[in-house]
Amino acid sequence: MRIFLIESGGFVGVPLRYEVDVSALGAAVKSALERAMVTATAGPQPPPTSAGGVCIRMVRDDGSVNQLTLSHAAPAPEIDELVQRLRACATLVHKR
Amino acid sequence: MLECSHNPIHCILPPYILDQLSQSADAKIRKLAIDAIEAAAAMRAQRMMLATLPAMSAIPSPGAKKHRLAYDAKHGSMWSLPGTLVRSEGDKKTRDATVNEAYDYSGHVYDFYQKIFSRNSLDDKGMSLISSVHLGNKFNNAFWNGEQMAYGDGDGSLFVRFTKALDVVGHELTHGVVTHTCNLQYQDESGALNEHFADVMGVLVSQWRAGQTAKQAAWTVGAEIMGPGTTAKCLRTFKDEPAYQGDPILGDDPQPKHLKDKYTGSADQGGVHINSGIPNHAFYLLAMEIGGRAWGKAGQIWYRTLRALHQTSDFAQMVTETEASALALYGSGSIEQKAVAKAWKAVGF
Repeated sequence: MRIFLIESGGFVGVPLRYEVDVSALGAAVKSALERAMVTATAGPQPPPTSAGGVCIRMVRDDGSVNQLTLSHAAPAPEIDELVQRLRACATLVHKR
Repeated sequence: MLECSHNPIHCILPPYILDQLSQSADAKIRKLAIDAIEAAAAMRAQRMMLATLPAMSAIPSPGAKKHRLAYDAKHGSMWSLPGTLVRSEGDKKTRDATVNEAYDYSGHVYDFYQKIFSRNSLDDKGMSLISSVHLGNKFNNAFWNGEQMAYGDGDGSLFVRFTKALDVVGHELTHGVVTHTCNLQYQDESGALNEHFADVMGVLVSQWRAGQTAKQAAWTVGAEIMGPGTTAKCLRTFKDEPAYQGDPILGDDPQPKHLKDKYTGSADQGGVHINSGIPNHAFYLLAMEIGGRAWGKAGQIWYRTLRALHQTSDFAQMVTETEASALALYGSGSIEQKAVAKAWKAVGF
């Protein structure tokens, strides 16, 4: 499994892609992430804002992909905390 | 973990756990879970409402005049905003340069809008300017969240601290001005105009502080926050040249400078940071054609236009309104009116 964080919007604008070192994640974080991906409800979304946000992109070994996007203007506490933990184990992906 | 002041299960448990707990046989746990679900739903509803009614999110200042509040997010997450108050209006400098930059530069931006455009803060009613620094851990961005500014420290390689550059602060605060004027929808051409106004006012406040003429100015955005790990010298440029090419992380500058090269995909909310390059270049051409200080005539035409546009205004309406503003401010057949038409024509309109 590979996990990416794609930061977009804000002042920078250019999407910045980070790859999470999955081996550095604890079992509890992995479990919380899996459940968040499965149970995240779509619901009504706030209108897009200049604040931007972060997308968690999970690419499983079978090639299936799950994504979850969090707006910086409307953070959800539980997902926000999860993103913080993923960021701590992530490094910027070089384009070339 | 996040700190919770009331319901202990509100902040630390994900929704699926709350769903389970809300069906617990233990009445106390059931009530706590239901309260937490209600609180989270209320918060989401509040944020959605504030996005459409910006006046409700404005924090009034004492005396309706310049009033800055700088907070330290202490590397917390978005949810932790604003953080701990560390400097209020009139307070002495702190030992933290980042706090002082956020405080000082938001003051420069307030002064710029007041002296150049007679505008009293973002809402023209003296709302407080709230800044939070040290957001996240090496967070590579800064943003206006509809209520306040938030600045990351950068990772020290691609970016350094985002408070270092006045144009960053001017850009983010101008998103607040846009919110309280035409409130341009943040997608497609109206979103590109939202970014454009933020870039324009960001560079103008920097030029104003430096006393630069249009010819003396660099016309770059974000030059001072670029770190040692990138070949890019800035994030965006108003000139007809790429801000960067072949950078290992940023790649190639995607901004077009002519309508024929407009991005039509769905990324970046329909290219809001990409297609802003077109009106940015038009503004640069206008400022160079008029000459002198860009915040003067060109800036006045743009500020008047900002107040004339509406939420879904597109590039064509921007062209029409800038020409109408030039006419209203400087007269029919004026150098300024001709320069506006010439600038738009040069970028494809």
